[in-house]
Amino acid sequence: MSLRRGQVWSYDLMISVVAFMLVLAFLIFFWWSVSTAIGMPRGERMTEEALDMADILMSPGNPSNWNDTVNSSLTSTWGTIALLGVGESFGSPRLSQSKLEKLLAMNSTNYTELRLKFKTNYQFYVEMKEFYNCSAAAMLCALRGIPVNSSEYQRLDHFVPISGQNFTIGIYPPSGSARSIVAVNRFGVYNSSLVRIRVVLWTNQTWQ
Amino acid sequence: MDALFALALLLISAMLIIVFLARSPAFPPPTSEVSSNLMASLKSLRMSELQGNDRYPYANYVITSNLTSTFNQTVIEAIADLYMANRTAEAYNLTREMLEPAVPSTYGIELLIENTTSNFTCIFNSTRGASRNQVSAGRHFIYYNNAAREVRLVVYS
Repeated sequence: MSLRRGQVWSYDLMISVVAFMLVLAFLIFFWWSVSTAIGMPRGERMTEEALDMADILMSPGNPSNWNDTVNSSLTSTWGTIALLGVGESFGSPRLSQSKLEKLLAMNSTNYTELRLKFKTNYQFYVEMKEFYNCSAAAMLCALRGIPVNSSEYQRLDHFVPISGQNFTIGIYPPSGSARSIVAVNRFGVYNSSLVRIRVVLWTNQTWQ
Repeated sequence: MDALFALALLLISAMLIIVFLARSPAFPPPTSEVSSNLMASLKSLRMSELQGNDRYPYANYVITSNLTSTFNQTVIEAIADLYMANRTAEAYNLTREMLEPAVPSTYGIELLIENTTSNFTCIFNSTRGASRNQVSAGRHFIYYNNAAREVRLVVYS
């Protein structure tokens, strides 16, 4: 094509622009694919797992009557549990005493198997607390064996006792030298009281 | 030739649109379900269950003093009932007894109720030094004086 004075537009220019944009589009597409394949930041992944675990824990589980079908002392009977939850029913914030007792007993039997049941790659710790002021509920604190001059007495949140022990399962992060921790809170109703369940996922690894 | 160019431009545009629109959803903050979760608990727990419960002395006072209209109300209904009956101090104190020790101290709390002009008035507010970087809200509708009103629990950090 002969070059004319003042001419900017030409077929060569159009072809080169189209070719350049095609290459750019492919580059962007594959750049995005690779970054997606590498995955989200590890901190976000751990938080997402903690959120999922908290949601499952607050559900009735699958099957919803898993507490009737397993023997907490025999891990071979745990295979029927697809999801471990302590809720009474779907959509209800009420927690089942039977399921809580069973979960506590399972934790005493085998933590590693329990971790597999929760389908998490991280270490976990779960605690349940209720809320009262020992100054106003002196009888309750006395029954729980909380000494008057202790730091526990001054607190407003106290561990919920299940089967004579505080409801905590898993490994307390400082005991395991945790270096990365994510905590998620959920609320429910247990024993006619508001309770808070804290799900903590932790690991010895850092993200550097 | 022109049609080929147009087709190529269309394909490029389509590819760019797919790349930029097909993003993973925004990552939910850890506070995202606290308020709805807490509101569900307050909607489930009834005042009658709190009677004789040492953990809630103020709720027991509300019950024994017959300050709310029905004994079988849920906690959130009782709080709204107290507020709408101009017992704002009782509503505040009952809310504080239920929420303040339960919500972690790094979070701020607000309990709001819709008034007759469809604005919200605050029943209880405790900032506890929290800013509003992440805000979540749980909602519940009550029926009072032939009108549906929204009660909103806001938790922020």
